[in-house]
Amino acid sequence: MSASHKIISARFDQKNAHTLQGYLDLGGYGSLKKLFKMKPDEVIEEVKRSGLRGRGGAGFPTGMKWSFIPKNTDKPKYLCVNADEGEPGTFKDRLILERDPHAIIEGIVICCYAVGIKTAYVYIRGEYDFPFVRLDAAVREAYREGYLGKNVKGSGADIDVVIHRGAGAYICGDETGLIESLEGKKGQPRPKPPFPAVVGVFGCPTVVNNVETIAALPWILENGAGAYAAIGTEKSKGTMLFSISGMVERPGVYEGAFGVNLWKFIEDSTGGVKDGKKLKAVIPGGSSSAILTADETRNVNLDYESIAATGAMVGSGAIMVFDEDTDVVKALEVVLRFYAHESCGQCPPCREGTYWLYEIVNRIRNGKGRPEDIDLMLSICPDMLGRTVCVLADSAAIPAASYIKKFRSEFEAYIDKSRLPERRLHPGGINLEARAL
Amino acid sequence: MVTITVDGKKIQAPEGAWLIDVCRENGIDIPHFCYHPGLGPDGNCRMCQVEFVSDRGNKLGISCKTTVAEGMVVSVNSDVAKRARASVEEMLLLNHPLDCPICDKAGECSLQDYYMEHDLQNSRQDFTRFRKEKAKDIGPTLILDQERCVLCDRCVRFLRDVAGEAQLYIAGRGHEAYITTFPGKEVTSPYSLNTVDLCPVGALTAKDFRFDSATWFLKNTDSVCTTCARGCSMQIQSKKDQIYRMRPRPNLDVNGYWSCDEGRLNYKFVNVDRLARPFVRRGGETFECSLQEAIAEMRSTLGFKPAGSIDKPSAKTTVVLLSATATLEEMFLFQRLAKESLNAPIFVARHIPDGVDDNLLRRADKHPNAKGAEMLGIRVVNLQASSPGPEASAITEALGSDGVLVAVGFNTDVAALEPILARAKKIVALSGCKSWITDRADLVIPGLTFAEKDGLVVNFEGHVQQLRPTIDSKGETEWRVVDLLIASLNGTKPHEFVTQIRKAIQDSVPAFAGVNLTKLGSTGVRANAHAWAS
Repeated sequence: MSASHKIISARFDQKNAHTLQGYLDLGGYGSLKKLFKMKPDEVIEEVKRSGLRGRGGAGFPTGMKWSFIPKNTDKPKYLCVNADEGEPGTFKDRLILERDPHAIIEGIVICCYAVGIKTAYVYIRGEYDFPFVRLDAAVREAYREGYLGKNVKGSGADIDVVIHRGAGAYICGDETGLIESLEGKKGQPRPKPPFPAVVGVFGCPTVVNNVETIAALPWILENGAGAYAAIGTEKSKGTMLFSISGMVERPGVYEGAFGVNLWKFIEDSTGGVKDGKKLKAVIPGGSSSAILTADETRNVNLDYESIAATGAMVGSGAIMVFDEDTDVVKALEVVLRFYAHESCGQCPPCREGTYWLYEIVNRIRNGKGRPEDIDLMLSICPDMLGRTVCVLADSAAIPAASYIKKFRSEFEAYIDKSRLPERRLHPGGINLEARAL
Repeated sequence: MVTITVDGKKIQAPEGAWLIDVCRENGIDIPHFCYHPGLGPDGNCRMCQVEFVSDRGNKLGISCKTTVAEGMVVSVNSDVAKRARASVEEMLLLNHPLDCPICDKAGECSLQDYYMEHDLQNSRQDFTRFRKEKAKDIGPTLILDQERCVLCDRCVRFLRDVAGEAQLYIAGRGHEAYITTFPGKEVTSPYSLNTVDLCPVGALTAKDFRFDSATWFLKNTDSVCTTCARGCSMQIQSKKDQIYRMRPRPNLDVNGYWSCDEGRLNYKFVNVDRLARPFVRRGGETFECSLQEAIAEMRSTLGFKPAGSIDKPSAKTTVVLLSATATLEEMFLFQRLAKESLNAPIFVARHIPDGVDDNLLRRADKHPNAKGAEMLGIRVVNLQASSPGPEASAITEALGSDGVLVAVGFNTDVAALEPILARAKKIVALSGCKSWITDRADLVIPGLTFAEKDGLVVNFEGHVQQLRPTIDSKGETEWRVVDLLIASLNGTKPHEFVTQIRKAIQDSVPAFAGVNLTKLGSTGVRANAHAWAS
């Protein structure tokens, strides 16, 4: 991977980049001079032209999201930086928070200046203790040196940053769940419309952006939207951090430009499947994505559109690699247990559906499955897709359906194995146990 | 106004209205749990999903949180929409205990109804049902069954948004979520029983009605609550001449969708200490008699010669005193009796002590018809205090030393009446229940309670509503007693129907001019909007 594609991760390996001095030495806060000469609308246009898309999972164009904020409103506007990185397999924001927190603050200044925001909240995942310590220290430094607070660096803009620590619910990573939680309520997504751009935190217009999205802004402003848009494909522009985990030689966070072959990117970054084993499958975008078989992985490009064409998604860029020994049924059980546990419980299809799916795959794994269970699961999944307030139900149903469709034989093997010793069938087909009753 | 199409039918609707409201007003009922017209949409139950048809492809969406827009095309009963709702129903029934045979809600349960409409298949659930708490005592009026709950959030929203104090909440999350009270607290809201009506399933049940009757045996009568001057529209539910339950009816002019607990539980006196037949008290002994005999006795007590002789009122001083709980017809006829036949003063007494006044429904004035007396032009006196006030002395003065007191409709003991009763030489009482007055009266004619009679009451805003008889009674209604008396005094024919009296009221009382009292409908009519304003 060429060095020019290190945009967000450029300072990850630099000593002391997390301190203000270290950040300034590496050219940090360089975009602000340019920023304060531009009009806010020009900044939004610039971000639109860069083609930057939200890196939290949905991939919504960032500039467009900003432009939805009403211009003539008496209400205060807010920015929420979503640092509630909870998607299983994702750990990219954590590195930014730990190693480059000032990039987030610089990005916050850019966003607040562009949209006319005075207060930014950083909603940070409760479990992220060290990232919180680093970000908190960076915010204090930034206040001390005038990068935050009243009249930021003589620009006339007042920008405050409040760090809010979550309490560990996955659902608070959903933008409206995050807003509810930030307001002090139970983290439950709100029905949309109205969207947060109109009615967000405390009923005011709110921008919710992922940490990585915000951290990409300084580079875009400094080097121009054109330079960012030149990287990647026509619709998936720029670079993205990928958290690669699972059975690979060197798991970790790797930055990559869109448009390269998925498997080539994984192999080049991590050194391929661990211990030279065969590849079985890859989850390209976090646990809520559909799974890709080895063949699909080798033949798909890493960008939003190509991955979406396979039915999977880029999501938050959490790539999980399964080798030939991985038990897909167990993997699905783990995924579904997570979603059954994290469902907020508002909508019946999600509240009941996630638990139902988990129960079925759990009994298959425990040797109590029945042949009809596979089709039962497949018939439950469509009843959960797009039926709920947020996409948590979809996040459980999509992997369930894809694991079963692509690796059905493994589910059947479990069921066959479980049937043989316990249920002795009479040669004529009569169940002896049933007759004994 | 915008035009939308629902299942091929063109509908005009005001812009910005919720789709589910528009559909309901046009006779298309969309299944729902979390939405309620009095609470608005919440969007969590997903039961009201319909299919939105467009060129870019059809899409499922909830109808409660969607505002209508020009050209919107909706299918409520397409296969996709029905399947979506059936799947929600299936999900809700997965962990539902299915104890319908012993559930108070059976018969009026949305979950049951929608199952019959949409699903009608056996459960595909085959793991152990999730257990939560059953029969949990959560306050003086309510029992909570967490297993039956569908987590629609209505009770939580009602207590928080309408009754004004959050006393329930959803704890836990996912399939482990459950409704509960705050730690160490109970549901003590004076409006708590509305949550039982709101509950679409049998999760919240009323202690008062628990295991009393299957709902389909109950006979419904549209009537009015007589516990305070608000006069909430009520549905009285009875079986075999026993009242089992009272529930508010929607009436946006009076009570919205709600009623207070005090009002809806105030029906038990109907079955307690009732008087069966008229009786006369002579020398400390009581003698039962027929209604005709009682009316003859009343004539002579009031100083008239026996029936058959038409004569002028005698010299006997008489005071007519009505409770402000009496109906408009009774007040009107006694006013006529007092004015035309007896030449006696008439008072309407507010005698029940003031209650709590809040800004939702409850009024301090605990009389259903004090406003009606005012509108008829009868003097309303306060007899609420235990010691007689200046207003009581007006009555004692009018009684003189050997006056006759006609006391009507006092179903409870009234302390302030004590000196008046002591002053009166003779007492004629018309009341439904035993009290101090009936214990001392020389002539007692049993009256009826709100549940047995047909009559009008006027609430504090001038809204006229009709009490309708719910249960049969052996006694005679008060208006007929006085009507028979007037007829016998005047030698005229008595009225046949109560509506004839209503006609007379609207024709002769200026406050009711222009109001059709003979056809009130179930939600009543606002009187002062017509006559008092002009």
